[in-house]
Amino acid sequence: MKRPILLLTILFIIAMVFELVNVYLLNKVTTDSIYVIKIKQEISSYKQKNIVLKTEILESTSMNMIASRASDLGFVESKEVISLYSPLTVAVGK
Amino acid sequence: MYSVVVVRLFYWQVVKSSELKQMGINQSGEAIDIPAKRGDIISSDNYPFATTRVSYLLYANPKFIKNNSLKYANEISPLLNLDKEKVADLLSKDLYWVKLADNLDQNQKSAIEKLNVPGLGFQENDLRFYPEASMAAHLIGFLGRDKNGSGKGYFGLEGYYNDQLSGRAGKQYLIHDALGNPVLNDLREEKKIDGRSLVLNIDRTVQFIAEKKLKEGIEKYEAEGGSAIIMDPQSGRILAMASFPRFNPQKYYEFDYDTYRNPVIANLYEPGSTFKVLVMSAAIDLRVLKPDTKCNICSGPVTIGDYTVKTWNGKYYPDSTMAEVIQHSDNTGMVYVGKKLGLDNLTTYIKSFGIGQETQIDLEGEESSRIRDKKDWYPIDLATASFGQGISVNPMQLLTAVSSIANGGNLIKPFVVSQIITEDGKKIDIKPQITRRVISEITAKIVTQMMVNAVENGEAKWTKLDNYKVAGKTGTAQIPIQGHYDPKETIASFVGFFPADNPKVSMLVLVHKPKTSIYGAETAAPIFFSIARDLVNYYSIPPTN
Repeated sequence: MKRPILLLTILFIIAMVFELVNVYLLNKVTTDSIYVIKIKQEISSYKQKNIVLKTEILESTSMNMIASRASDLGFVESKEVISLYSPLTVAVGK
Repeated sequence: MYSVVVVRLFYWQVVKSSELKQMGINQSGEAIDIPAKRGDIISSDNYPFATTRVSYLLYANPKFIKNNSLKYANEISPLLNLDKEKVADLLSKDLYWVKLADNLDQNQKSAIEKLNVPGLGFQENDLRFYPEASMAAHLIGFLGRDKNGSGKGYFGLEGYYNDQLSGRAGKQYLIHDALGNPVLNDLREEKKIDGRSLVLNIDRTVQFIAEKKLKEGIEKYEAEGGSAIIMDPQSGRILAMASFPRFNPQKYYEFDYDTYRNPVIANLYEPGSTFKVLVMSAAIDLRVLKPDTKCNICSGPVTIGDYTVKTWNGKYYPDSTMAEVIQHSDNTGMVYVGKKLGLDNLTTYIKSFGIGQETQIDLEGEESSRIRDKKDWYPIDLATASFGQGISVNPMQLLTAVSSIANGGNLIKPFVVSQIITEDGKKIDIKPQITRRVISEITAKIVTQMMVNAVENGEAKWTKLDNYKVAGKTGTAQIPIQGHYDPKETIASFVGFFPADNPKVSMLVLVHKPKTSIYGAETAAPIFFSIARDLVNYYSIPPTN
């Protein structure tokens, strides 16, 4: 008689432990899910920003934009091709 | 009785199960398209000529806005660049959904969201974006709509590679309950396949140089338009392709249909004197002539039947050598070459050079004329074809043919796309293709030297590039109009390659109906050498002289 009661008690304790672990894990999943959703929202927001920035970069680095900016900064087109046929001395020792 | 029930159940639950399931899906299920992202078109220096960006459609539920339509219209309309009356009218409609604006960018969306107007919503769409605007427009083409309203590429690369760029839309299957709420029962999905991206041989800097110089030249010579093609003659890679007038692929609908056609591959013209180098190559290759063979009919105009062939400038050079015939661009000398060659050989070599056949370049819209049957040729046709009149080419055909002289005698297939990137990142290289050998290496060297001599001593010598050996030929082709040639309007051209000993670049420049001068030497040649001057710097090509 004592043995079955002992067995039942042990089983009950194991079941309670499992239930407590289950509650703990469910709680953790719930809080982690909130965290995961926030991260996903951040990722989505960064993806949107990346798309916007990518578009802005493309527009800023177009050849027409670069040429226009270069002209504003005073760069002019070279009209000549200068060829050096022999080495030029750039520095001499004492 | 029991067995009858079992049989009947078996019939409805097993035999008829598929049919009944489908009826259920049809009644309460739907398939939603998951659009595939269109592939990019990228230059050789890794800049996208065509890509996709997110755009937003702004819609409103007028039922939420009710009596405040004018107030909200005042707030929204400046951000949309729309009349406030028009916006107010839309917000007053007795509907649950109205479209207010399309193709809004992220900044506009954020600005509208900050207004906190009730009843507004955004629908995200993919918008084809061309960051370089009109640059290489004819080459790229544009993304339009087909009759079903789906995106479809037209002209250029967007048209030719439309299937590869489009990918395949996916499908998400959903089942709804009686109230229309989705039921997480059927999670079937056909995965979308994003479009493939194209990497081009086109170098953005070279394209920019070509377009800039061509545009300046067209304005300077008061021409109706023009084209420039730059190619690697060894491989057939197209490095740049420019034409004016052009269109903006982002707003293609604002331009005439005729502007979409790429003149480089779609417009046929009589090439004029640039064609002489091909005819001369044929004669040299067949050894019916040598560079120092003297022309014995070059002392004056040549009569053929009822026609008289004259030189372009009224000057005649008795006993000209073949090199001098090319140097002086002498029509009577070319009549001599044509007679020596004969019709059979001429037509054989013309076809071998690819004239009368499409180059099969990977662009949509190529057109080609056909070489007439020999029985339809008259003696005058042989004469005029020898100096490039009475025969039609598209500019790409001519440049490809001349490039075979540059590369030692092989006709190569021109191509724009160098690599295709699949949806899973795999790269497929497109290799150069040699179509056939047209002339021998020796012939190619001889004709190259003739073309160098033409640049050094011919009519365009005033504009040539110092310190570089450039092989080239001018062309001034009259335009046939209703059976005769207009003497005042021409297509001026210059074709060539450099450095002559080991060509890195071959190029053709065409100027359509220039007004300041009708001659190629005075219009197309200066543009050619202006571009060449920048290219030798860009490619760091050392001087050859």
